Amino acid sequence: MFKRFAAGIQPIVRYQSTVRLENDTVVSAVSKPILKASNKILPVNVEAVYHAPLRNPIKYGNLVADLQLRSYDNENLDFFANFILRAGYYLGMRLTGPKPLPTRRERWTVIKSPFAQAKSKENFERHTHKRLVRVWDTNPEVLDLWLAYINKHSIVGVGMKCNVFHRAPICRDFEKGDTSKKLNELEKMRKTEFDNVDELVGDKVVELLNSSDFKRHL
Amino acid sequence: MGNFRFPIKTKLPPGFLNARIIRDNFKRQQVAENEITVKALKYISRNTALPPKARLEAQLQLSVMPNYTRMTQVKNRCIASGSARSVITDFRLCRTQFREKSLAGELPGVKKGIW
Amino acid sequence: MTVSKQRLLKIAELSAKIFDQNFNPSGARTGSKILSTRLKGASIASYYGNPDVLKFKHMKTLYPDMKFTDAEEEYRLSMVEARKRRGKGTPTKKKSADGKKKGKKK
Repeated sequence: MFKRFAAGIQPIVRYQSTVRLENDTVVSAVSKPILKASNKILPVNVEAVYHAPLRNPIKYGNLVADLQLRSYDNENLDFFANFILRAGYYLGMRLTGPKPLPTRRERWTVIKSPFAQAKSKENFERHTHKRLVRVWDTNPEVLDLWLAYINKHSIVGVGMKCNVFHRAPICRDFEKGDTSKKLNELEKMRKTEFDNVDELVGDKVVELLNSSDFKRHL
Repeated sequence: MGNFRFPIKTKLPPGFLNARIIRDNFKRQQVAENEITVKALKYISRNTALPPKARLEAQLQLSVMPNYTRMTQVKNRCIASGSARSVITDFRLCRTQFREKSLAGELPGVKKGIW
Repeated sequence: MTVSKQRLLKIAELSAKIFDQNFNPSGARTGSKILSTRLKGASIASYYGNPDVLKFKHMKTLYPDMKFTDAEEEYRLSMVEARKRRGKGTPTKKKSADGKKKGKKK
């Protein structure tokens, strides 16, 4: 996580202009006279850019995914969260957020001088801002599409982490015998997805106990 | 490279190098390589369900292993200066390097702290 | 209503069996503490970074027909040259027959 946004972080200056433009034009009273003066009627979806992102209402309350955004700078973060919500709306997804999560503050105090003079110190800090966007009632394919789109247009200095939840029925038919098959499948998935730590050590233990050094003691 | 200083040849890390960093890097590589064996031997020696002789054998094998395979031999060093004192683990830098870099704006997100 | 200890133990045993957990009511030392800790070798070994990162000097040997310039090195060499012209270069080594035991002077 850290590496991802460490690599992408850049000075704020580059994106400040876009953010400011949007902040100004969110107030419709400012933007409308200008539009009228030019006598042009904007398409609805362009007009929507000047307002808060639209949302589809949640219907079933079935949580599909959690998207967490992290950044050292909240302006980029809010801008990108806004973009994400808009992209989701046009894909017909049901999103809530961006919910601000507690900011992580890391602080370091170091001695100013390279040698001695330990009484004078200097403080440094780093704030990690977090936002949570939750996805409800959405087709997994649409979710993948949305994630790919977001990834493609990701902003510098904003890290993303998405937890996708899969739902499966609980097998209650213990006697029928297909549980063991399913369990085996699950076990296989687990083994391929995570390189299981116990397994490596366990295999080594078995190998050692079967070696001649240990065999004579057993 | 002629004859290598350490018993097992290891690639040199990128970035700042000095004798102590090279030595520490060698130990790190060896610790990582032998980690599973050490863990397995430790498990055998701590498991009271196994016969005492086997446990003793495991303990002996552990003590015979060279020092550079032990986790305790590894020391965090500054990757920019090689210093081993007051290393900030988040950045793997010692305090002077950390101060210089953060003041120069090379560490993302780190600012002068005011609170 | 009281439940006997034996029954509770049996329940614990069963639940451990179902959920694939260890059942160890006597608290015997089985070394599972060691097995349950994570492997940290990979993170320890990569502390100083990837050793296979391409460096400038490797680029020169890899592509001998390309002309690379190292700006910093060039600047350093130009500064050395400038110092030499001002007479501030490296001092020449003293070459003399009598000054052999210069260090051991009493």
